[in-house]
Amino acid sequence: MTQTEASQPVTIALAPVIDRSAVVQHLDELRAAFATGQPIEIGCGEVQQIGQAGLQLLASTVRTCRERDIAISFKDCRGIEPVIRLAGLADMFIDSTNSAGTSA
Amino acid sequence: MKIEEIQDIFFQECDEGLGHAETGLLALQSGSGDDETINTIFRAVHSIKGGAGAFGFSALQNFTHHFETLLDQVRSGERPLTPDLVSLLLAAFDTLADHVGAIRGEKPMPEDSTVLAQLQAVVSGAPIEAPAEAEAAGDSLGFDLDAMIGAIEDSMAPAEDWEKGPADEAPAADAEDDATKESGEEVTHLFVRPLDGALANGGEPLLLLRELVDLGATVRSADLSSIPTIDQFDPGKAYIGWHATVPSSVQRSDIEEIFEFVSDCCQLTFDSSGPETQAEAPEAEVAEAVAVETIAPAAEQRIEPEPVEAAPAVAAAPPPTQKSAPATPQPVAKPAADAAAEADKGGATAQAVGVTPTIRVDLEKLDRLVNLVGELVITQSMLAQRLLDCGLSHISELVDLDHLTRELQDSAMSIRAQPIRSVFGRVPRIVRELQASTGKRVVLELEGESTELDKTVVERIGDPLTHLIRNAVDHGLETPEERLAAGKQPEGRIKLSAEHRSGRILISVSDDGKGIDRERVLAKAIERGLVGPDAKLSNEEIDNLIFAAGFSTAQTVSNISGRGVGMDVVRRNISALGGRITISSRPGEGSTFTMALPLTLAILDGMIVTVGEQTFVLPLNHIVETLRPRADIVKSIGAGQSMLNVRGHWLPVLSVGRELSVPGARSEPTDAVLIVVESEETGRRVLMVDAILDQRQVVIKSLESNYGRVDGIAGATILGDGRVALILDVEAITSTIKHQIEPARSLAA
Repeated sequence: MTQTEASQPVTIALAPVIDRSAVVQHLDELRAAFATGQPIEIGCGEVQQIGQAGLQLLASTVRTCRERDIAISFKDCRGIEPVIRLAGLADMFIDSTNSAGTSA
Repeated sequence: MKIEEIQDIFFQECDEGLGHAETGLLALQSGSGDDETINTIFRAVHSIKGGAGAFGFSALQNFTHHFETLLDQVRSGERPLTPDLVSLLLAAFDTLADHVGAIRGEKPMPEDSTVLAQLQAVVSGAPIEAPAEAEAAGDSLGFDLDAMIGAIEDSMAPAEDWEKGPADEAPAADAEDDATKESGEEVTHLFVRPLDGALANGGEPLLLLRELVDLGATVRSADLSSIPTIDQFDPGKAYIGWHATVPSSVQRSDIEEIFEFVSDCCQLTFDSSGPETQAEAPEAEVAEAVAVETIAPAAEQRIEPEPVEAAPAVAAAPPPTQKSAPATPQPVAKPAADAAAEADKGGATAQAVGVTPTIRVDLEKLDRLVNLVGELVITQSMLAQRLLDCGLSHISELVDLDHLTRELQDSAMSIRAQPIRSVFGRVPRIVRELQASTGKRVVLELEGESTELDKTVVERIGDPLTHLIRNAVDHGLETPEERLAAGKQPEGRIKLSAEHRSGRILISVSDDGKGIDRERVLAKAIERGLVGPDAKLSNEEIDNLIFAAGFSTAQTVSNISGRGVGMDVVRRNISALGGRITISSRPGEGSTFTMALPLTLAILDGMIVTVGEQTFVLPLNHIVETLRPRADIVKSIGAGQSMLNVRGHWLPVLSVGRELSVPGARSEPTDAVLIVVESEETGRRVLMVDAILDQRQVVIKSLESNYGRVDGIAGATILGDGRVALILDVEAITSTIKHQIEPARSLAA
């Protein structure tokens, strides 16, 4: 996790393989990030494998951001598109917005 | 079987698939391909995609999906196969190979956006020569999780309404529901809900979902109602469920089979009511109608999934209760199923034409077998020796045992043999990249790709071969302008060939370029102090200077070659394999680099000789002839050196005993046995030993791993009488007198 100045987001780069152990690691990072109250930026560029646990973590992150009114953005996510499609979320996500980030 | 082992099998299948695909693409490029070639490429890419999906390699799966889509258009005749299209397919293949390298951890993730955009653009009908349009198309289709966030937000109720139930569902395929109705096809509604424990032991419910999709299922919506906030999040729990529809034509038993082995960790609910009923049914009610099925660890299931292609994207995620705009009928699941069926059909065709069944074996087990066979050979030799000592050498059973042992050894070694195709397969890409970076035009010819040699040799020959190819293009071939000026075709030719010859494999890299500039090589060698300024070197010796460490005549240092760190490493690597490399070059006509390699690193046909009290093994492949010389064909040239006249040619004689400091070795050639040997580097020389004992196959044991490196010794073996014999390194021994040859020869004459 990289922490920057107050106005800058906390950046978390997801691991190439988001298995359960990676989810545990990222969960700790996310909890620490939320504790700062700063915007969160999640880099997905290295992700090669992600399963249900990883998708759940992302969904949980979004929900938390929404509840706490914290901005969140995701970067370089094309690689996980097939999993998003498989998980039945494609219609909602693809091409629905091109904004750089989404605030909850 | 562990998931890692299954994944390793997938990696091997990727290698095989890439090999088939590249062979096919090169056939298309050369104009020799046909419909079956396209089918072969399609099947290879399709198979990789299936495995990528099964193991969750999303980026690879995404790329192969688009690659496969274009291939499907080509094989259906929808897209004509033009040279530009073949070039695009080759570029896509290169990127695919990079993706495979990335999932194996051998390479970084490739930047595939440009190729991906081109694939997508061509699939959608754009001309291949329109990269800008392609990029634009890629951007528009690019996935961004930013979009997902908005969608999740929309699909999830506001925080205060989080527990609301059906409103929490993400409506993934509402449009498809309409499409289904339009098509008049009846569907069965399912609800799949992984339970706590579904993620334990490497379980991955998405694999089950993917199998459903393979059956033709469409994921209609994801149930996100149970997703907690980050503080309550438990990585071990499953929170997401899915509503899906399956064509009614799909047997319920086929669906149940997917979940057959999942034990108490996945809820599967069937609901035959219509879509509206299903959509409006609260999850709790749906759950009541469910049958819970059970299964094995999902991760161990072997599947070849297709990505679920949802209906065309809408401008913005709709609210949960609102249907999105009508979409085009039926998702890709069905075509994908067709594709899989065709792939299966291809497999069936392959079986029909008599493809030999194969089995994958752990390499460690195979090596153990080879090692045991080696021990058996040694034991058999010792038994033969013992029987010989007892005067029982002529019993027929011993002869039979000898034959059987040799056959067993040959069979065991042949299991380790692999066609060199896997190494040659890398070369076309290297050449393509070199063409792009140097501006040179190259026609590559491959010959003898099915030549087999030991797996270890195959694995280690890749780097030296790569460097030789780079060297041939970068240093050997001229630019198109230079070639035209020299009266040649603008395209240079590189020929890579492999063949068996005299118990060794010869791999040659030939070019029709300018040949080695010997004047410049010699000048550079003198400048760097590698040879004296007044050195008189033969053409062969000048050519071999390029193997000297730090030698390079490149005018400019490039990332291709020219740092002088390559050719010496090439020779060292080949030497480490028990091989040799030689050069043949003609000014203006080109050069040929030939590597002579052993077929196997485990056994050796050798001549057993004695020197003093020691026994040595002389590799048979070096031996030209043996003789006991008369005095008149041996001439002493002083300092213990002598020359042997072999049918008019004076060859230097080297005493093995003196070189290896063996006490008691014979010193007079006329009292000893002379063995004419030949090596690629030093040519013909004569080795002097005391006597020849036998000629037999020996099992090579590494001296370095059991003792340490000894100059002039290549390894060791155990003889039939139980004694250890050292295997002579002919190349190393004869090279010690290499620079004394010319003066000695003139002196002898």
